[in-house]
Amino acid sequence: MKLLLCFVGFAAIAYSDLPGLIKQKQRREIIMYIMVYLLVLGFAALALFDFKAASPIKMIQTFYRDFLHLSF
Amino acid sequence: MKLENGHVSERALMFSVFCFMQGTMLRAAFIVAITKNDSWAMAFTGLVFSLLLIVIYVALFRRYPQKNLFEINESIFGPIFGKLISVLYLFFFLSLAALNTHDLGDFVVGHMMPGTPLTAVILLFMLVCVYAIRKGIENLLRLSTVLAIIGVGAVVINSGLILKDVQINFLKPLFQLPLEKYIQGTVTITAIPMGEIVAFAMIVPMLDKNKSAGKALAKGLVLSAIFLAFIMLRDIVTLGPLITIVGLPSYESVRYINVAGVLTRMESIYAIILISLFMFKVGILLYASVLGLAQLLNFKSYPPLIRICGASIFFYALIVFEAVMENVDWGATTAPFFSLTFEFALPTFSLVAAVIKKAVTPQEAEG
Repeated sequence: MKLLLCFVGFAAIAYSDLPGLIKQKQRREIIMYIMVYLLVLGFAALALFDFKAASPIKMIQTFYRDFLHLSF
Repeated sequence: MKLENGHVSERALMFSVFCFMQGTMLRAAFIVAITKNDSWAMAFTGLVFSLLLIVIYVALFRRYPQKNLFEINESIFGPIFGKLISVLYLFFFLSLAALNTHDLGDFVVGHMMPGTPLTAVILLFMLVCVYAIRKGIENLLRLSTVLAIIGVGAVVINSGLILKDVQINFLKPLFQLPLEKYIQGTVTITAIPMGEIVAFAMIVPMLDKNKSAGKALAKGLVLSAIFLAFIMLRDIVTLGPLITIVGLPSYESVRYINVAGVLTRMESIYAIILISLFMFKVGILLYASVLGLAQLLNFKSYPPLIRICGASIFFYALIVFEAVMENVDWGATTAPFFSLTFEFALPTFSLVAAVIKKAVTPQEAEG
């Protein structure tokens, strides 16, 4: 169900944004947009499958605390 | 080519900074946990260091007038290294937006609508933010004056109604904590709410007169610090030792209001104002992210990226923390250093590079 809602949401985003870009015939912008779109879709899939390790904040915390030793 | 042709007045920018800062009131618990009943003083020590940050930003704005942070990065470091630094800033803005959105979701689910799925709250909130930015950042910035007046009015009225529960003795003992605690408190308040105004470096070129950016930012920050100190003082004298135990001191102190058993549950009104301020803050961060992304990808306009950026913040906010304690731990230990990297270290590095660049090639540095 979650996955279905996610795909409906992403389809709605593409439906609202892409026609405008296609009308302007900006090929480079369309390609860039699709790349960002797929990146966010991938991130969304990770989030939906409860892949908690994907949280960038946790990676940063490990980097600052354990690698840079910058932490109170 | 300019991606944003809107204009903003100095007054609107000042009130925007004020609203942006007040949106962080929920996170004041981080500071209270460190400096306890002396936390109000941290608003002023933090202000001193934050004004130093503004001096750095203004020095950059003066060297590169009518340019936002991402354009300044490209002017100083060139297209490749400049874009690389801008990517880091983009990540920072997205992270701040996700963290604030998550905070808001936790607040609504924990205190206003228990049992409601966090996903639903965050989704609705993001839809409002996306709608606000699609309608134009100028409108959101103009709204700041009204929001600021409502916010101040609510706090003044609440504080008046709570006077009978106040105990000035709760302020004692004054300044008895170890020096390290005050340093930690100052660094935390400088980095977490105050330094976050670096996001306004994406909005400053919209000012009618670029030179007044520093004045508007500083005025907004001074007002915010005074107001923050007032709120913290009110919470300390109302809650006393409880202040270090409760998660949201300002919300809990408003719950004390009870005038003749008629005027109660005032926290509901306060919560609505708080949500509006959060919407304003996340809206600014979303705008900074969208404009930055559009510049990085050389888009001719930024609106096509608003929804997809909103979606990324939505999913980021969902997975950012698994438990509330992770959020508290992040805020108290690592967040100040992470934030200061973008609020202090990188701008200082940029300023030094700009000075060196101008000394080596005086004509090019003006570009």
